[in-house]
Amino acid sequence: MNNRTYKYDILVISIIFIIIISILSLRTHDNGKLVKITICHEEYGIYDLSKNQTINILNENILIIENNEIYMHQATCPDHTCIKQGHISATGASIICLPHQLIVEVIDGEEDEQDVKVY
Amino acid sequence: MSKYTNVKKLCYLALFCAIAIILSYIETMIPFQFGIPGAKIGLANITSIILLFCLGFKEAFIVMLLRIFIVGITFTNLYMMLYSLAGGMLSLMMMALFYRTKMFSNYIVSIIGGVFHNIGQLLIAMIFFNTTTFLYYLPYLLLIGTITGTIIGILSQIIYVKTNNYIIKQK
Repeated sequence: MNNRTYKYDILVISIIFIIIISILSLRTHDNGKLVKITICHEEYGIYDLSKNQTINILNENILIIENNEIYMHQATCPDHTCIKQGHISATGASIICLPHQLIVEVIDGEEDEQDVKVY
Repeated sequence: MSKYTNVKKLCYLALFCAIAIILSYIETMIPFQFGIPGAKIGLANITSIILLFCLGFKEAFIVMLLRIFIVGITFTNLYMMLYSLAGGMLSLMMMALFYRTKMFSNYIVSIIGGVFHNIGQLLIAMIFFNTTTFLYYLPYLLLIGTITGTIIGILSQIIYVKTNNYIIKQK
């Protein structure tokens, strides 16, 4: 064990932080408009984020849409990690339930337009 | 003579395996939440790091596989076992790679382990769900991997300095 400082150490740390900062700064922070639910690779449904509602997903999970935010209210899985993921609203954010193969994600309503958007 | 060293090594590996399983169990009792589920400090990684530094990649890999298998069938479920397996294998391979180059300090090796553990889990989740949604969490996972990697690096450094004279390098 030697305690001399390595110049490559600083390089590795800076590369990691540059990757983190560049990804965070490049992506949009807009709130999404729609909520997409996927179970076992199959689309279950698309819901409007601006409407307050309660969605019962196959009697396994209860998802609540409230004030442009979504959160998992109840789940029958043993670990409850989907409930711990809390309230989400940003585009791209998602709630994942591993035991039920369930993904709830917030998507931007105009996905096709986003590709041609140039600033 | 060769038989003697083999038995000694076997004892060390069994001991480390037991310690790793206990550390994994202790970890489930610590309420250590980062906001992202599944993110944990990775105490069992200490044993992998010390084995990698003292005995080598092969030994560390065997102990890691055994640890994940035993923890998977006793404390957690099969899903978690698969995720741990992907993360653990990728992180150990990258740690061995970075350690072999001799260009980096032990803290960096540990940070690389933490970061690639998260990347491995993210990759297996993306393969499972067949979606790229999870890439959203990549920056947070990298940050968490760096933080936990630093903590584990400091802990393993303390333990390594005190124990490396007793664990004889057998090649």
